[in-house]
Amino acid sequence: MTDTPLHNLTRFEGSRLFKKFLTVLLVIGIGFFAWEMTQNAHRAWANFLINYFYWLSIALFGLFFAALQHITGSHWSVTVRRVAESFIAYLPVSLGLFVVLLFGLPHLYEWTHPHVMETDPILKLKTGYLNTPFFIIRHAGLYILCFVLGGKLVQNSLRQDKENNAHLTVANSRLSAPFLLLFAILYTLAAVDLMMSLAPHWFSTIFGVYCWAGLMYSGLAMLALWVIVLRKKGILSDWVSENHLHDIGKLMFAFLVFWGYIAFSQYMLIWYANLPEETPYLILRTQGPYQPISLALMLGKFVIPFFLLVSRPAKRNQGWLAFCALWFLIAQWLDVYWMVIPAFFEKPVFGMVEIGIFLGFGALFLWSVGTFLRRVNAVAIHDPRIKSALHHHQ
Amino acid sequence: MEIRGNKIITEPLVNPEQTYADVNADVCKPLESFPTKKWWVCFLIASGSLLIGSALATDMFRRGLGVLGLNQPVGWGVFITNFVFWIGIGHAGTLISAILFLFRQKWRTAINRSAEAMTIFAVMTAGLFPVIHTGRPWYAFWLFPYPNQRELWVNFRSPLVWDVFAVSTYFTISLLFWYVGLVPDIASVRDRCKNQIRKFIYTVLSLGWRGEARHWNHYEMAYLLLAALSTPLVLSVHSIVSFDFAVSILPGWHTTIFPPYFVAGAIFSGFAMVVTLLVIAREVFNLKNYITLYHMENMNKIMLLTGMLVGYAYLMELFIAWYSGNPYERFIFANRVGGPFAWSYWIMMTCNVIVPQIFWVKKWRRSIPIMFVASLLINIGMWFERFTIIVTSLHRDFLPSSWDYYIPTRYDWGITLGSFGFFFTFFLIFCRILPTIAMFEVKAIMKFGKKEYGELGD
Repeated sequence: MTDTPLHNLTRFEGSRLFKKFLTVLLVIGIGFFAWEMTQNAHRAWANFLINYFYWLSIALFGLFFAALQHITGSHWSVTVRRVAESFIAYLPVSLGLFVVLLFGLPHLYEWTHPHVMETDPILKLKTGYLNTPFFIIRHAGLYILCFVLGGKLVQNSLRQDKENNAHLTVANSRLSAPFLLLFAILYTLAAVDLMMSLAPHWFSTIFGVYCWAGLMYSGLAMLALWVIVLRKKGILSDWVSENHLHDIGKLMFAFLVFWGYIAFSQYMLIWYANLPEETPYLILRTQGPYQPISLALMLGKFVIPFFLLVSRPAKRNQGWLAFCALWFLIAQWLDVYWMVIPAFFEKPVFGMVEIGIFLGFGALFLWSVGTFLRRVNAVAIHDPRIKSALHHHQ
Repeated sequence: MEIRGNKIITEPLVNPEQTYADVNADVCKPLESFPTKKWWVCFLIASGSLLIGSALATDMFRRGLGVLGLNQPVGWGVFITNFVFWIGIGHAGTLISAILFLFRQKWRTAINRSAEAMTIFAVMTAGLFPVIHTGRPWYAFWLFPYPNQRELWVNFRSPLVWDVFAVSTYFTISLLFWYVGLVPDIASVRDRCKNQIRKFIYTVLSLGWRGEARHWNHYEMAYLLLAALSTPLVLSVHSIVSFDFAVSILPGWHTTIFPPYFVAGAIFSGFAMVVTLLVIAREVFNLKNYITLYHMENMNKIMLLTGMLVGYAYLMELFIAWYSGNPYERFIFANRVGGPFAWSYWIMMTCNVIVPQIFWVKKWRRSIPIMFVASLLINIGMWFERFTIIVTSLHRDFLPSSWDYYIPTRYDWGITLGSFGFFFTFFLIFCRILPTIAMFEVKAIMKFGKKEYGELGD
């Protein structure tokens, strides 16, 4: 094995305490959800939806990122790509959660009620799209894509660890193109279905891009966080240098600005035109009780992190980058909250239920990714570009 | 990608047999010899077109805008189409030089100079149209807010004013960026000069560049900063151009995806124009060793990507128009797809979405005739995209009694031809007086006498 790096790669092993901690979080999550079901089913399901979409997007980011690196033939990212690939482990869990979500559809979506669809003259026109069977088909399509093409992508990458075969890299770069193409369509539909159709009269053509910007925003932060944890544990410390962190940080910064750009485009155009069919969505969120949430979103998701992350040292310092990544993850949660909660409540609701259910979902995500990483190498050790990735300087 | 053992061998960016001296000799050759016949033919066609356009424009100013095809309800037509088209063409240059620089894409080095030059000329061409569209170009300074006795100000809430700022900022930064990148090469040209007048001119232009370590140090920092400053500009300019339409309440214009969709379209059309020009330039000036098939292939890949991005936007517009349940939205899109201007819509769809799909095939991505035809078709498609957006949203407005068909006159077409003449005249002159390839950047990526990781042990 002359051309593998000299390092021994240890496997990830979560401490016992951590596993217990995750179990506790999961129990808390389930407990709060069950309790809230008896109190206010709308709130319970709204939180379920927020977290379903939030964590699903992060898991999908993993595949998107891996495919993107393959198709562009990137060198720098080889040492961190496996961590992103490991996010696929959450997708089977997410599929299970989707089945649970189906029970909540009548609580969440107006369009699931036939009498509403029949009496509302505008919604009546949308029946061909907004109906439960087609909703399930579209969403199932996303899972099929991820399991078939995405699964193959990860499988090839894992096979390369054993086979030391550069052809697998070429195969993956070929697979990535159709994956990304179909992903763009199916993720857009998922964003329309899960988030936009909460306000069934409202529409915005940029909405899929907006949600994708959030996916990149939170996914990169989660990637940074995992990479930093694995570095701290000594698993990636020889593989991932400040230069790799710097690149992840740059991408985080780029998507922070990109989100700001897309959010501004959507907001400004609707605000400026002030059309009765579009503007209520924003009036509800930017005026009245939800105004603080909108302001917090603008400041917390764009303005403040812009300054936190703009400088070069900020992106190269592991501790600071981890702090920023946590900030990003919270800000993205707030964004999904901003999309969902105003559809149900006149005033913002926030309490232990929101935190508890978020933590429960988070525990599932961390558990599935952790389990995956325990079984596989945390780095694609035989990737033909690994050497040049290890010598990445800037 | 070629695989040897467990290594992926990438294609060299420059023909590996080239030496550093070859770079100077080959790139400077068109500057140091008399124009060829081919160049004269191109130049006469370009300047002839410019002359036709200028004559028609002069006549239009004399007689008024009534000579154009514009009327109620189509008040914006070919001129605004041209404006958006040329602004779009001006996007590839800065994308190549700024964004690809930040993404460490080394293949940009052979093409960035000419693409940037193209950007500058395209933005200049674009700038003509809003000015002549006013019909009274001598009042063009009214576009700028300046203190005046009448206390009249521009409407700061109008995106047309934002456009003035966006485009002029973009032009200024692009020009600076281009010039900063040119300085070391102008110095190389200066050092080769034999004629004293020529030497004097290039000496002044090279700003005292001696190639000292300190010069390079400053240069690298200036270039990085300008790249970082230009990157948001690439996105902002066409976003603001899209606001010209999207802030209105006209179905087909007012839609939230417009900013990123226009940016993607601009990059798409810009790359198509770069491919068209470079296919010709590498032939005429014999630069095939530097602008290799690998460069062309990469540009075709970007066209494939951006073509699908605009395809996404087209489909999203159609889908949301249906999904909105709004009768006006639904009508305008049904009218686009099947109305009197359906031919224009389908030209756009075919050229922009279907044609680039041929680039999935590696063989076709690397075929010069195929990419040349495809890039021309994409240019046509992108022109018709703007035409479709502008005209189909206007010609059947909210008042069916005023519905009309729009037929551009010979003034519209002649001045459009003139804009191509304007652009190509500048480009052809540029090819004669400045190095079309960034020589020092190409030298930096040449593997002559160097080895890189991944090749060790070969």
